[in-house]
Amino acid sequence: MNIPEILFYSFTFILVGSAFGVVFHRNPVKSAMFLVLFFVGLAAMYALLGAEFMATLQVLVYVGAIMVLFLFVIMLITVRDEALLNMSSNAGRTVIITVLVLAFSLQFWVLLGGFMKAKGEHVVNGAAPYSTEVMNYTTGEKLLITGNAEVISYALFEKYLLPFELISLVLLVAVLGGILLTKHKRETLQ
Amino acid sequence: MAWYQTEIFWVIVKVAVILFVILTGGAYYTLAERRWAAFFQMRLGPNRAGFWGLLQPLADGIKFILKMETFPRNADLFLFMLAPVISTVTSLMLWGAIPFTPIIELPEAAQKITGSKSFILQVSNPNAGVLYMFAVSSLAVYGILIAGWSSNNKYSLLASVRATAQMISYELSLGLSIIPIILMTGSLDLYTIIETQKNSWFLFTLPGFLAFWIFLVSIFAESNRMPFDLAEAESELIVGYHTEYGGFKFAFFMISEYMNLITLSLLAAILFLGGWTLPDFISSAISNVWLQHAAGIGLFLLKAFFFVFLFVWVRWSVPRFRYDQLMDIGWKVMLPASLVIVFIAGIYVYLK
Repeated sequence: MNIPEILFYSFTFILVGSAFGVVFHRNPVKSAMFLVLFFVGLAAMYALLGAEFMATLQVLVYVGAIMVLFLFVIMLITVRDEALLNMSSNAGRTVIITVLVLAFSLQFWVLLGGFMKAKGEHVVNGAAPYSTEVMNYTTGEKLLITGNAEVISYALFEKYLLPFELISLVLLVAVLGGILLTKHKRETLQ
Repeated sequence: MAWYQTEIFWVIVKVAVILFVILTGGAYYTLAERRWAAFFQMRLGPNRAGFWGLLQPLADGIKFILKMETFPRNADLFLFMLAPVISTVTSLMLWGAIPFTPIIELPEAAQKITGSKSFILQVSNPNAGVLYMFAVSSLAVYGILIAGWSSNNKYSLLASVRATAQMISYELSLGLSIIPIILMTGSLDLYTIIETQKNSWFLFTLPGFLAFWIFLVSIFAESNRMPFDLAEAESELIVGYHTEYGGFKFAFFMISEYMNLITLSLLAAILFLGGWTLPDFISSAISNVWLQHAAGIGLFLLKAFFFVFLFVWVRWSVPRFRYDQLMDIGWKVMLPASLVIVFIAGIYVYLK
């Protein structure tokens, strides 16, 4: 039992708990907030696996941009708080929290009890170093690059350049389509 | 190995020092803003508490703590209390990645005591430091958004929607304006970015110079400061998203805003003005290594201080934009301009 393992299981608990929260919470705004918590927890998990770059991008893109827009829409429409109408939702919440806490403590207890003394392979201890071998086109020699951002950018801009550009084209078309749809509606309103 | 030689102990010490500095800095920035604002308007400003009003932040703090806690009826209490916490925590987290000093080789005696060979006043060095800063600062939107929604007040909600829309619009041009820097450095690491500027600041390169102006306008919009402070347009929205907040909850918002301003000033000094580096002709003139470090760090703080002053200067000199003008500037001027600058930077790096 070491610090990465403790962190891993704590984050698992947060992730599963917030995922339940997204599905079962009666208030859409709180549901969205649980989704934010879920994404942050996921980023923490990535960081724990050594993929810091992915973790930062996860927070930057999903939490910083996409979820904000979700919350925007939810906050601007009138939200009926159904938790007050339905008493059974409280019971459901209690059951979920109890089960999660029990599962978490059981897991913790099992770990502490030394069931895992035979070193498990799956544990996040010391994530594999990310590295890849690339060719320098100007000099023709092979280099070993490490570091998250470098590895990802070599994969995107060397290995999978064509699919990457195609995806960006698809996204561009989607953006243009979105603009066209809203523009069209506005003109008809006038 | 003694307990004071472990890495974790020194990290805790650094965190304590940085927390103290940032909280005091934020508190005193409020005083500085009020004093400078007064000077701009030919007044004296707060000068009663202590010499030059230096105890004013303390007096404000005591007053905020002693105020009665009020909660709006029908407010979502959990989110209502969470919002100032998110604002403050995100602005505190930002300082974790800023390298305040270069890596300093410790003398023999200090090495024996601390058990480490070098020292740097930076809590942790994430792999992609610049991206970390942007990721964390993008979380600050939630403090504002939740504050506005959970107060159950139409003006607060409108203000928070305004502020959030503004922040995510200008985040684009802010993010794009640092891409020239990343291209010229070839790294996302803040330490490497500073070291690359040893003999020429990025401000004095063509793409860096162009990007600097985009960056400057974007940080004003990003921090909801004066020419763009539509979130706090008093005539339209009372005081904005924190209308319903009083006492120390309001102080949290206030201090986190000022801490964000200091962070952005430091970031501007790091990205464009070379941080704590000294050009060769100065560092060769100073023989003592410790004096070199002191001069470098002093200059770094001075550069940051210039931006700290600039925020106040602009606030009391420039009138407010209209909201549609703000959005037009963001999407129709700043975004295309920053894309062009990224293109120029690409050509610049390719030719070099």
